Amino acid sequence: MSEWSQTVDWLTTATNWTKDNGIVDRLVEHAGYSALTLGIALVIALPIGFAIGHTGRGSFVALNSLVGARAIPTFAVVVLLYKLEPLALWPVVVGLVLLAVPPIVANAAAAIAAVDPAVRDGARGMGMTGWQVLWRVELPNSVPLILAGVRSAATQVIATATIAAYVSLGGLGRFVIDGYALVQYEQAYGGAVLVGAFALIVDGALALFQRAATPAGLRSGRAVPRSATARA
Amino acid sequence: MKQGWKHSIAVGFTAMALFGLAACGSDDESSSSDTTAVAGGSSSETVIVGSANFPGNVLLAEIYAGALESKGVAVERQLNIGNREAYFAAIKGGEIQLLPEYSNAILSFVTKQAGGTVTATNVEEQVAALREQLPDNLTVLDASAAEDKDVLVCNKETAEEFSLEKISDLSDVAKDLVIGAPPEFAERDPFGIPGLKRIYGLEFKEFRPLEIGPPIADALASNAIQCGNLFSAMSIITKNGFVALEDDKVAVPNEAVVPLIATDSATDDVTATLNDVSSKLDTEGLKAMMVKVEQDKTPEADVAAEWLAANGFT
Repeated sequence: MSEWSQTVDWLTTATNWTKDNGIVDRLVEHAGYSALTLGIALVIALPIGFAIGHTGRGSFVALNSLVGARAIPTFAVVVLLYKLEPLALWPVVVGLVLLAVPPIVANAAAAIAAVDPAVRDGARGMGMTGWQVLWRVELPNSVPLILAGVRSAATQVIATATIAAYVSLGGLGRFVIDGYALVQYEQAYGGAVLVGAFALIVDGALALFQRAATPAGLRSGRAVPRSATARA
Repeated sequence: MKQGWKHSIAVGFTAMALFGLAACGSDDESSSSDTTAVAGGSSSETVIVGSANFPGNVLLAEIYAGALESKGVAVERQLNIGNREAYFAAIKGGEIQLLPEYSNAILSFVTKQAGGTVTATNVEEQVAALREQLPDNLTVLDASAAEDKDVLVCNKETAEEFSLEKISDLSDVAKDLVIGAPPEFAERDPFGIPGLKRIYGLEFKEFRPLEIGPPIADALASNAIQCGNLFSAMSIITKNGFVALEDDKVAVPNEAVVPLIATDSATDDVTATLNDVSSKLDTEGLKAMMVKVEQDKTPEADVAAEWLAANGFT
């Protein structure tokens, strides 16, 4: 049997899904690590992105440092932090959060800053304070781009959460690492396929959410909604 | 937005700073210095020396390679291939020709593949059984007096709490203990979950898959796991005060270091040189070298070169 057909076999055998530490269990763990990471990353990254975009300050340093931060090898971070508390989850979460924060900050900042100045001006002209401008005008106009950043982060986090298996935790990476160690390549390939599929499904779901959350006036692609006040 | 040389410098500086940070801290495992693509590219005289993915084996491979080089044999290195399950396929398929093995472990492996049971009880019997059981294109040369075997160690607090000195002391308490070992431990016999169950009746509370070396040592030291799989020559055992449990039911008999070699590569020169190395290696020497590799962080190649010079090879 070719390795490919063995992999298909492994993926389509029901017991591999339902048994203890089977595909369903590992998928739930993997989704858990990813969701926790994204939650934390959003809490950290969105305020920073909004502040940079809204005030226009710090964008040079912040955004260019973020480009450099994307070069951090997540695996190295996890391995180093593992030494502080072996078998804990937080080293993996820290490594993944470092991965997720840059795209969210960059997109949020760019999105806020890119709001048409005419729209912002109109809002100020109506007497809105800085906060009101942010919440009622800039944010709704930036939603598509912010969500693009979240999607990018989500895909990267899901794909990279496989490293949790290296420090003895769960997730779909377990199939990859154990499959390789036991020379049961159908497990390793199967795990990789599952990670990719999961990332794509989440990306697709977020794309639908992005579409749904985009204010109607922006969906048609016009930079400036016909009436900023009506939509704000 | 003006981007240009300032942007490039900022990005480059940050990236370098972060890489430097990551590189400084990470454990430098000696990766192969001399890997070359193997597919049919070497001359028939070249001996490609492989190794498993742990420093003790990389060290032995460097010693074999250096000894052969000192006698004028053309050598290439393919180190840190993986575990036995992974690298045995490579040597069986002819992609590498030589690697350092351990008599009982390799015998159990090939015997299990053939569906049999191991009956050898000492090194001579192990070597004879190996020469019979290995596929025709592979053989083993003389075994060394040096041993490096899998050991079950427990951290100090666990060993003291339960008065552990030998593996059978674990029979009542294993169900409360977590053991850390590489993923293949889940399926290995004699030294693995099924093997320890069969020979000692042990069932651990939980099995955590971890690499042998710092990952297991760190987990033991922090008591995230109570017992773990290490190798007897590793200095981290004594350094951390771990207790290596005595294998009283002899799940793992002798693990003599022995060269596993492609029969075609075992020319008179190569055989004589490697037998010479085997006769000069001993367990104390191996342990002393492992201290240098693990504690002093000296690269295996350098430690090997020192040993070869001290033993008349270079």
